Amino acid sequence: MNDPWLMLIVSCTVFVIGLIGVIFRKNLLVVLMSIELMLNAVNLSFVAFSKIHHVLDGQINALFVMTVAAAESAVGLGLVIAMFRTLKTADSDQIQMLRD
Amino acid sequence: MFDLANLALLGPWLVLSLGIMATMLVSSIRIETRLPAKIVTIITLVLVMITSIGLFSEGTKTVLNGYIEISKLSCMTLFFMSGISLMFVVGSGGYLNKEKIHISDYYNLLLLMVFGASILVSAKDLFVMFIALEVMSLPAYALVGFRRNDSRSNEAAIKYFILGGALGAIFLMGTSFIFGASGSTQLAQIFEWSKGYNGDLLLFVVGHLLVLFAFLFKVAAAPFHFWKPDVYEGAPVSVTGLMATVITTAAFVVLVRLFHLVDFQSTTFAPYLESLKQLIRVVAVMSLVGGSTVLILQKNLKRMLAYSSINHTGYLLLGLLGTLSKPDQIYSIWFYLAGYSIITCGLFLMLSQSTTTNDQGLELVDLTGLMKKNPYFATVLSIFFLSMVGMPFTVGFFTKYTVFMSSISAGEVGFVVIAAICAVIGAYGYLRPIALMVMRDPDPSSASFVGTKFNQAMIIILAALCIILGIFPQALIQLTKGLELIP
Repeated sequence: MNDPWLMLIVSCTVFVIGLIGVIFRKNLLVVLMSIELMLNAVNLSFVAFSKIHHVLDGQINALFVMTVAAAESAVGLGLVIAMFRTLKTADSDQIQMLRD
Repeated sequence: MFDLANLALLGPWLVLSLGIMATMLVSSIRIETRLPAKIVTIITLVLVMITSIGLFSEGTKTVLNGYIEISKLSCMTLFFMSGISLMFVVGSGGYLNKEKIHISDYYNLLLLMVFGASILVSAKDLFVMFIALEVMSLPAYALVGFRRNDSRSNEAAIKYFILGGALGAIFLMGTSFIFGASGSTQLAQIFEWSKGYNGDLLLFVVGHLLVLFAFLFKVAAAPFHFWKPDVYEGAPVSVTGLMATVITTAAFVVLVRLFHLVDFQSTTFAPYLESLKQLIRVVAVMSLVGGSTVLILQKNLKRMLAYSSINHTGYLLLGLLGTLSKPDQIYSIWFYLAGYSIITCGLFLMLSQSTTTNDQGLELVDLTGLMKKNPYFATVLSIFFLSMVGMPFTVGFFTKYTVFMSSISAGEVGFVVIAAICAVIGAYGYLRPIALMVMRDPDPSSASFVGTKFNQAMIIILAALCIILGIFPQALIQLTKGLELIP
C-alpha cells in the first residue's frame, strides 16, 4: 500500500459502499453507520492526496473530520432514540407520516 | 499570522461564541424557564449586529491565515442573519409557550446555528466551510426535532439528519478531490492555481460537481428538493422560519462562492464554464416550473411555503446565471436574498400566531373568512402574500425585477420569459389564500390567530419594511451593490 493512488481507489470504493448503504438500507442505525463509513472514506482520500502533494493539510483535516463524525453520530443517535420512543421502530419504511 | 489586532476583527464571532457559552451556563442553572436564556440571546444578537456593522468600514481582509474573510459581503450577511434571528427570538415567545417548549436549550441551539451560518458565509477555505456547515446543521437537526413527543417532528428531524449527514460527506469528498487536483483547500490558492493550469481537468471537475451537488441540495433546487416540504411541515414554525431565512441565505452565499471557485477567464476552464451554465439552466428551469406548479396544489400552508422557497431558488439561480457572464450584476442575488428573507420571516411569524397546538391549524381552509373574523391579521398576511407574488409597491416586485434585468443583460431572455410565466402560475397559489380570506364567510370551526405584543410588533416592522422597500428600493440596492465577491 505504498502507492497513494491505490489508497484512493480503496477510499472511493468504501465511499460508494457507504452511499449505497445510506440509500438502500432500512434500519436507521445501519444508515448512521453508513454515513460514518462515508466520512472515514473521505479521511483516507485526504491522507492519500496529502501524500501525493507532500503537504500535511490533508492529514490534519482527517483529524478534524473524526471529531465532526463523532459529534454527528451523537446527534444522530439522539434523534433515533427520540423517534424510537414515539414510534417504537427504527425502520425507515415505517416512518412516513409526512406526505403530499 | 495571528496577533491581537486580528482579534478585534473577529468581534462578531467572539461575541457569538461568548453568548453561546453564556446561554449554556444560564440554561444549566435554570433549565425549566426560558426567560434568562432569551434575554442573553437577545443581548448577544444585538451585540453581533453592532460589531458586524463596525467591521463594515474595514474593507476586505483575511484573518486566521486566510481562512476567514472579513469583507462587506460577510459582515452585511452576518448583520442581516442576526437581525432576522433576533426577530424570531423576540417574536416567537408566544409560540414556544403554546407548544410547551420551555427548555432554554432552544436558544443555545439557535445561537449555535447562527454561529455556524456566520462562519459559513465568511469562510475562505473549503474545509472550514465543511466544519461551519456541520456547526450550522447539527443544531438545526436538533431544533427541527424539538417537539420530542410529536412523531412528525421526529420524522422530519431524522429525514433532515440522514440527508444532511450524507451531503456533508459528499461535500467533503468533493473538497478532497479539489484538494487533490489543486494542492490546497483555500479558495484564494485554488483561484491562483486555476490561472496557470492547463492539464487534465477530470479530478477537479468531479470534485467541483460533488461540492456543487451538496449545496444545490442544501438550497433545495429541483430535482434535489424532495426533503424540503417534509422537513418544513414537521419542524416547529419558528424553526422552519429560521431555516427558510438564515440557512437558505448562508447556503446560497456559499453556492455563489463555489460557482466562482476558479478563474473562468483562463482557456482551460472556459469550456467547463459553458457546461456549468447548462447545468444551472436545467436546475433553474426545473425549480421554477416544479416549484410554481406544485405550489398551487398544496393544502398545507407550511408545505406551500416550502414549494414557494423552491420556486424562489429558481429565481436566485437565474440571477446566478446572469452573474456568471456579468460579474457586476451580482448585487441582484444579494438584493433578492434580503427581500425574500424579510417576506418569509414575516410570513412564518404570522403562522406562529395560530392558536392550535402541534401546528395542526395551518391548512389553507383555516384562513377562510379571516377578513371578517380578524381584519388586522388578514390585512398583514395579504401584504406578505402580495410581496411573494411580486406586486408593485412591495419589495417582492423589485427583487424579481433586478434578477430578471441581470439575466436579460447576460442574454438569457428565453429563461426570463419562462420565469415570468412561472411567476404568473405561482401568483395563483399566493392569491388563493387571499381570496379565501376576503371572499368567504368565516367557518366557526376554523383556527383563530392571536399574537403576543412582541410578535405583533415584529410583524408590523417587517410588513412596513416590505412596503417601504417596495416604494424606495434604492437604498438597499445601493447597499447590495457594494457587496463584491472577492475570489
